[in-house]
Amino acid sequence: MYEPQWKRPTSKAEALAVLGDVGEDAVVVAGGTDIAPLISKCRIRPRLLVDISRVDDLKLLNVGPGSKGGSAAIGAMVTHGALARDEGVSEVAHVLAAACRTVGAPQVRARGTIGGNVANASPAADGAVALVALGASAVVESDGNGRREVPLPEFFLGPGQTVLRPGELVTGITFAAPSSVARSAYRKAGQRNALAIAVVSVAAVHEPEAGTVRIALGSVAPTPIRATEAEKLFESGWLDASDRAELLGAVAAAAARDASPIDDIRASAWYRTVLVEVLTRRALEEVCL
Amino acid sequence: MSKREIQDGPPERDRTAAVGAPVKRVDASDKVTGRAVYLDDMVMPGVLHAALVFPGCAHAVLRGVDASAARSMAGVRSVLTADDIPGENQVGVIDTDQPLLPFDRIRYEGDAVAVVVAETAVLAREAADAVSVDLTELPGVFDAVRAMEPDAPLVHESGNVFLHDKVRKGDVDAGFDAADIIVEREFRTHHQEHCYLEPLAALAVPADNGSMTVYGTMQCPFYVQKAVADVLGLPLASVRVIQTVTGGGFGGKEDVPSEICACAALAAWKTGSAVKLVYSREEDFLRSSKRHPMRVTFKLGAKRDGTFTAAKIRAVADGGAYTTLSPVVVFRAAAHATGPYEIPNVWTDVYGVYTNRQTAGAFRGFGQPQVIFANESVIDEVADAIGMDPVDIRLKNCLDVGKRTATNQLLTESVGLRETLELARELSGWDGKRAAQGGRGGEQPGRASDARDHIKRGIGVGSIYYGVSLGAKGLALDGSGAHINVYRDGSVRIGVGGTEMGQGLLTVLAQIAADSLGVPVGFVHVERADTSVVPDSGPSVASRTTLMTGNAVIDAARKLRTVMGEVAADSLGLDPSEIEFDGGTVGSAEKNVTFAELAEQCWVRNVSTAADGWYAAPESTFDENGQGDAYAVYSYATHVAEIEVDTETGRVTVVRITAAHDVGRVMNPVTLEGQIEGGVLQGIGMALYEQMKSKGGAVVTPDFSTYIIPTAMDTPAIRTVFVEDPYSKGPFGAKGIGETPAMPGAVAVANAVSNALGVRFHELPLTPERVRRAVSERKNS
Ligand SMILES: Cc1cc2nc3c(=O)[nH]c(=O)nc-3n(C[C@H](O)[C@H](O)[C@H](O)COP(=O)(O)OP(=O)(O)OC[C@H]3O[C@@H](n4cnc5c(N)ncnc54)[C@H](O)[C@@H]3O)c2cc1C
Repeated sequence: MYEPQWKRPTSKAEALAVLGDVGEDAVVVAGGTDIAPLISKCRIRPRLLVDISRVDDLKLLNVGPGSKGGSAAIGAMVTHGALARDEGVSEVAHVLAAACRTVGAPQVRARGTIGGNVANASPAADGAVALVALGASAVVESDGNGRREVPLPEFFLGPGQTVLRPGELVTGITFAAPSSVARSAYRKAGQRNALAIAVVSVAAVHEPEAGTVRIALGSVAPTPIRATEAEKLFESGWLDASDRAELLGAVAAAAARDASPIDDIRASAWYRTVLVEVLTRRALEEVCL
Repeated sequence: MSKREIQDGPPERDRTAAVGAPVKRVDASDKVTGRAVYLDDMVMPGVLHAALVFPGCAHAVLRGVDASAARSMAGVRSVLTADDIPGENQVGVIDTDQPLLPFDRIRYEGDAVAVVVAETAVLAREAADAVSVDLTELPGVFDAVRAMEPDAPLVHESGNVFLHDKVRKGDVDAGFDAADIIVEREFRTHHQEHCYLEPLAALAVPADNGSMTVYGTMQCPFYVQKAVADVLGLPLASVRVIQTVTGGGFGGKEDVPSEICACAALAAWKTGSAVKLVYSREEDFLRSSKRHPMRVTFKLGAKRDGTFTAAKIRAVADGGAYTTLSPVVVFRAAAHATGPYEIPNVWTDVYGVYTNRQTAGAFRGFGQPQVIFANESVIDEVADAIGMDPVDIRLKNCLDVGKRTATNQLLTESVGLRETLELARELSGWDGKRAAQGGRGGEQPGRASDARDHIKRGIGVGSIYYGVSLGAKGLALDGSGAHINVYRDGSVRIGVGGTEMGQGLLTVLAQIAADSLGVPVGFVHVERADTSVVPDSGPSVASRTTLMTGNAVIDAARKLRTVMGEVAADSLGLDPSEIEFDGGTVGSAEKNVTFAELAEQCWVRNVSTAADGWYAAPESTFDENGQGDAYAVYSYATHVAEIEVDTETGRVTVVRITAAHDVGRVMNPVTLEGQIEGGVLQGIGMALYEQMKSKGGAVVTPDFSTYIIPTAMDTPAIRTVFVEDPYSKGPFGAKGIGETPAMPGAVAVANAVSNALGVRFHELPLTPERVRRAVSERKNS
């Protein structure tokens, strides 16, 4: 009968040591909101579960006015609820707080972590899409091989696939905090108002002085992606655009071309393309006009 | 002796203390504190656990089941197949086409071929997965209209079309000739899942002398008793079924619990141990019945002044793999297909068709929400075409006392439809809002961040009627019992056959009993249903339980008042006619005893203070042309929906629902409001979100992350309002409320979206994608 083993380290060092020991057989459990349903539906049968929910040194949150223009750091075990509530995050990286507020429902936000959201590598992960727009990297550590920072677009390999190797843990997220005049926004279309997986999501971060924008899209490709052609179009025209609203419309249309959605149980590719354009335009109007 | 005799019609209003009051739910604190014991909470020493084996295909010849690997696993006690059934391998409640465990043919993905019994639930599941099944797959049929074609694969040898109910009234051709305008459209609705909170579960316990006791979450213990007795080959008297606290039903626990309970009982019979079987949510979705998908063609003729002249309806209902409750659903859809309007000429055909999809059965409304979507949509199109207000056209044609239904039934009392229309119109501010939108939907000025003209507002209406209880095709089941026992301290315990499934029945029955015996509600304890206490009381479905069981309680209470009243008269020196039961005392204003003292006096004198009550539904008829007094009485309702639609994303937000219901008599305003609010949400679910999808018979929305129901965050403001037009044969004038709240909402929302966009919709649900597509198509045309 299936009975997994359970380990519960209480420090990062201990967690890394445990993972280094057991390697491939271990599966990390953070909030458990992605992994527990998989186990209970018998989709996976890990032999060893390493519960990192008691590792307090992964719960640090260092985003605030002080980090503006500098670097922001979020521990892997910080929950969506904490990010949604945190004033510093709201001020410096509004897009992330807004995204976390749309995750699941209060119970899920209270348990689900940003590290789990990223490590789970769903193309629909709200936190991950916002972080891609913030240009964030995953901080990856292991017992033997030290620490590396992997920019998120490289971290994700496909649905549920990442560059993580056995024994490695995502210990946190880091990004260069946007400038004090930057504005950001998150737009999500789900099948209902709560407990809704994104049918399409759009995160945008606008740096008015530089005349740049970073746009990330969720649920329209195997991983969260940047809408690079749309960003280029914006950058080439924003500072001296005569009709800014019109430019934003063109950028939104370009974002729709950057997306490569598929038909699935939630929506068709056609509808997703429609939504990318609408939500991108709305997000850009919010942060640019 | 009180004047409250059911033969005399509803008792005087001023004599009710509990009925009509917002009495707190008797089960509320147990439920909110977690003390309530649901089936899976029950612990029993030595209990074994069962799991089912699903071959996982939709249509196949079953060649054999090899359980040797499972049997050899440690902790596995037994693996049972069709060969192990001692009685009849049959659980169909109306027809006998549904084996408990198929032996030669698999007809849908939810068919289970074996029951595995093991020491733990996890082990049972693992062993079930180790059973191998030898199959030859057959081509299946997954669409009811396709299934009617002569070359379609046969689900049963008898042919795929297994039901046809019709209504023939007047001369439809003449009716259409007399019409100034005719609208004909085809509509589609899909599988809707009940989504009760508690999945199906059963516990079977072998008892003395080879008898069997079965506990379970269910609506109809007497169905379960019959199924278990048939499967085990036992007399009914050897099977006792006790309903446990039941976390929702909505029709999904009408006949379906017979399957799980019979599987558990079979396993308990074979192993001699108590056996528990609890479905996961996925198994529940797979194996429980659904709302019938329907294809409905609706043709309506009207005069320029809005008077309806004729209606012709053809509906095809996908019944899935087995008959289950389709006959009731098809009958009800046929009888009510025109909606609550007087139409002189009617021609209706409703078919029930087998497919290799999930079985469709009872779901709040029994086939009516699907035909309502058609009739209430077409009425709006007719109104539009002649430039008439949708509420006005409904008022012009609506049923009333003295009018005749589609089955040519003359309505003689308790028809509150007109008032529901008028109230819903007034309270929703219909006239002002319709005018502001020019009847064509309006712009929403000045919205915050997405300030564009892409938000449109709409308002829509839907009206319905619902024959209360089982009607002409269910008369044999339409009696209900109650047993009242008054103890020597005056406390009262009541046994019934009707079930509490979350709707508040136990509370309402306590209120009825309290007023019938003239005691405070706190004196009364109503027990959940148990087949050993009262005669077969039929199912708790079709909005019949307050009416049927309530009348049975009144009947028993009347008998008790006679017997106890004589004792009181004797001891007080009064004539029995002077005795009143009121406010916990018995006697006259001058001379009286407390109810408790009287109970003690009866005990001292060896006078029995227990009584049985019974109520049988009045005669009803439905001839081969669908003419007759189909149901004894009807409940009526009108919902007005106000919505906003984002034309760029297609997303619809329901802002407000005004729900007006004619219930005969309000028994408890709080539980009534709860019933209505829940039904409103199920209506919104049907309108906007819910569709159980399958591909080649395989369900692709197997859980709550893919099958979308509305959440609290999708809930609009709901304004409920009651019309009380008492029914002379109802308990205190009450009719039924169970189904009606879930019926008018879906089409009211759809009509509101059409009002906003100027586009008609002919298929539900109105997902954002479907709405967005309609917006694109309108732009292109
Ligand atoms: C009802 C419900 C609703 C949901 N709604 C949403 C939603 O709206 N939006 C959304 O984005 N998500 C949603 N989710 C998914 C989930 O809640 C989030 O992805 C959440 O952030 C996952 O975090 P967790 O801590 O629970 O991860 P876990 O389930 O503990 O782990 C997820 C995966 O990541 C791995 N992992 C976790 N932490 C680490 C780490 N530090 N290093 C390496 N690997 C790690 C685990 O091994 C596992 O494979 C929902 C889930 C549920 C159950």
